[in-house]
Amino acid sequence: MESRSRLSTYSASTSADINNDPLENILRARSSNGTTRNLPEQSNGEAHLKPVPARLESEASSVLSSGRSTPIPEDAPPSARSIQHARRERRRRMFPTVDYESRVSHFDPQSQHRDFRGFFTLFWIGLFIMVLTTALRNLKDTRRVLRTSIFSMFTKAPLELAIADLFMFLSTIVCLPLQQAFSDKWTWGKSGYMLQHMLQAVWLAAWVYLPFHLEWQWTHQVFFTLHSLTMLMKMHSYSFYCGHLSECHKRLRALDENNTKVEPVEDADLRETLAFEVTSPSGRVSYPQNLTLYNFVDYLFCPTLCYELSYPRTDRVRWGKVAEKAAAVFGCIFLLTVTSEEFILPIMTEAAARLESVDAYLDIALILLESISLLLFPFMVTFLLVFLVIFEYVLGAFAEITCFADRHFYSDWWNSTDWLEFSREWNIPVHRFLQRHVYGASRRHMSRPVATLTTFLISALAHELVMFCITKKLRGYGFVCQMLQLPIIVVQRTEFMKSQKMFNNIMFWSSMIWGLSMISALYVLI
Amino acid sequence: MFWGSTLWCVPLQKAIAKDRISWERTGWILQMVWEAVYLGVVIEYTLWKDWPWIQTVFIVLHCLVSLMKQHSHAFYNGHLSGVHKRLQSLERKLAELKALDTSEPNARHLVRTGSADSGVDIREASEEKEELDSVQVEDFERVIVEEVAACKGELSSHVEDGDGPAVVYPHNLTWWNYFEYIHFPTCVPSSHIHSLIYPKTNGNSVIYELAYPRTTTINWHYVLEKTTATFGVLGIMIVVSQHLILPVVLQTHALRLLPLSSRLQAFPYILLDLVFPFMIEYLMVWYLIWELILNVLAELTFFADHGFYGPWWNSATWGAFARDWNTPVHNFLHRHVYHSSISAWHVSRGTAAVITFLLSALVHELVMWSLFKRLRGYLFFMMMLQIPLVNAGRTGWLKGRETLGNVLFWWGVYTAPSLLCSLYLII
Repeated sequence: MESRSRLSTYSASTSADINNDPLENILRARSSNGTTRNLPEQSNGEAHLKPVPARLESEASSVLSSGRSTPIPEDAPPSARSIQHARRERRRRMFPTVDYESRVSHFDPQSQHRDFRGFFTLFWIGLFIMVLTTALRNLKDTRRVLRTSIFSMFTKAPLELAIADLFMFLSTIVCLPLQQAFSDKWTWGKSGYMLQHMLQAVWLAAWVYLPFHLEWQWTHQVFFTLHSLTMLMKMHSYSFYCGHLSECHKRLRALDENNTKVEPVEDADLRETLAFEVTSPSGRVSYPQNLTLYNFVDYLFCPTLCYELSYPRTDRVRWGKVAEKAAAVFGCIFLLTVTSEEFILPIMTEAAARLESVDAYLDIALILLESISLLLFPFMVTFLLVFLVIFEYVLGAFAEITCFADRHFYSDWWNSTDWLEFSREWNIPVHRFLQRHVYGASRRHMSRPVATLTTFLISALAHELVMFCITKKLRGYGFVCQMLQLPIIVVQRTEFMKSQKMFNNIMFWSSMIWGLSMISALYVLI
Repeated sequence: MFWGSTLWCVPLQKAIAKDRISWERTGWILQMVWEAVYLGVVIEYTLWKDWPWIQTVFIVLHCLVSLMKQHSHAFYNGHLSGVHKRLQSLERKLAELKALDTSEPNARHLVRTGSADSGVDIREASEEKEELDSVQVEDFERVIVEEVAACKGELSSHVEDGDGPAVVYPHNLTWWNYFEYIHFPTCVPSSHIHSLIYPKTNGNSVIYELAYPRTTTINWHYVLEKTTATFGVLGIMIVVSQHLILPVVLQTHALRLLPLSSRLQAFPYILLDLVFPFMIEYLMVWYLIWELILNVLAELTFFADHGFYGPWWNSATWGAFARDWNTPVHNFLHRHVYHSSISAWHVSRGTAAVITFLLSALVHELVMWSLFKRLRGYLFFMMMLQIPLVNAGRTGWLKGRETLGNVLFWWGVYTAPSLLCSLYLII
């Protein structure tokens, strides 16, 4: 009660309307202060957009805190009071935020999207029958159940992979002491972020080089590289967001020098904004209390690439679900391997052999076209399985283990009508990361189209890196195709094309099916 | 030719309406005889002409649809003729009762004796008193008025605001009405929700009437899209059967000469080779008929109710599948086989269900026979197998296990067509 009355007196000086209900003051949109404040441009380390006028959502604040908080002492600095106030609020933040909600994924049995669920079952039974058919055919032809060339790859030197992976994971810990240093001794804004960039570059280079040095096979290497890229994104998000928060925190503290009785309105509002910035969405944690080992390790395991001070959580771990998802992961990997073994590898091998004996361009083109068309179905199945294994099962398993409540890792990308929509929906963790840390950072220096171009560029380079690791060839087919999406998007966004939704979806699927097969065949064969 | 010959239904019903033929006594026998003859002639024609299987199956299916339409038209209108007669006798009775206001004792006696035909039960009153006093007359009037209202409700279509005037039996027995109905993508002419005997059609909460829900315009873009899709899907089906199914079928021709044991040995491989192509064909056939053809028909006949199927792919039990997969035929069977057998022969619901499945299985087997020219009974057996499966689904063990039910359902749908084809071809 005391804190509430304090709050109402506090906000009385700034909001035009005062109601008798103390909660109203907190929840009402502060439109009376609706001018956009231009905070002095921060140094490059802070990737935030112009702060928008604080917009409060009209939801009860009871979800944010219990309403019973430790009262702060009379002589506490104004920053502490603001932080306590901020813990009760909801509003837009300075740094582009990711809004997490507690929700299930699309294919979860509890999901609302159950109209076509039967076809999902159909898909799995089809794959099961495919395995059965293949096994029986193999038995008939070769007396062995399944071919094993790819399976045997998994069993070579798994320990080496495991140890390297562990070391890579542990090496990310270097971020934590760095951020703790940035929180008081060093400054992020002036040069701290440059240090972080350099560190990340070295880190990535080291871990990408290692598989080459150890001459691993592509299965091990692709897993390791993808894992490294994921860890890199996590480190980047953690460091840059915490760096930004360190700057906010320091400025908030600096405002304590002000005389609060004759403080200008702008400074009071700034304090509000900054206090809100350093407080978590749940209202329970403020920077720098989050810079603990437990918080960092928990974040590493959470199925997200964007660091937030807190996430929505479920009550408890359902180990049955974890087991189910883990089993699904292994099942999917098994199916992927069988598909590759029986339907992709033979075609590729044969095509490679035939290509060695021909020289004429026409013959090469014909062989390529034939391989591509034979590979369309297998690659489509592979694509769908890869999508499911990562975004439904692996991330789902980790979400279950870490009690992470937001399971919305993908949207209905299969309904996409343009490539931008696809990019937003198919891989939501990475999309959020790119939007926040690449697009958001670029927007400060460039216009929207150029920022989009930069984001696509970085994404394409990362994809190309992965393809390089798999095939050991630097060709750029994937890079070209991905960058080609940009002019296609321009066409798709014209008024006429936007209305042809069905046509656009057909084009999306056609280019997806054809493109996957073509790119893979090109990489392998040429 | 066959289409035109079905038109005889209209004069038959007109005659019944004018009470020249009684539906209950002779009308229905005439109709059944006609239906049997119709079916027999069509099948004999295909045999006589020795048509290949595609044409045969098309004409047989078309004939069956036509048969269902005629049956429904006849039996429903026959039922309505009975209601109409009852209405007329009730109205006579009501007129008599109203005339009683002059309170003549003779008239009251008339009421008593006359009441026996109309079925109004005033026996109780008449046993106690010789004459009816005015309160009782009012009561009887009220009862009769209620029944008259119910009969009238049953005989007329339920109108929504702005749909135009109601259509009332026997004014629906026109040539045009029948012509329209023959082309509608439905097998039941106007059910009536308020009926006492004929059941509500489930699924969409649209009310069918002696007039159906209608649209006012044709969306030609839609028709064009669906028609193109029809030919496209037919093309896909032809390619799939040509390249994926036919080679396997040709293998089986060689197998037929071999003894049973070798046939049984080759059987699983044939089966597996056919599973995926048949799955594709199954889905294509469903899409072709229920999404393309019926929708085109509906659009062209201004038929507003496009609910031809439910979400059968989500079925967790075979019962749900039977209801969802083919709504027009389900409605027909539900009304004219299931409920008719309950009302006409007073069988229990379980027995009525068995009869329905029996009829359906027989019809499916007939189609199989016209396809393969062999009478084996595999499909009949599998369809009758659905009855214990449906009952098994109703027991508690599947409750809450919808995914498991769905998996089992899809497993069955996946393997059954291939299994059946292999069985028919080889064994």
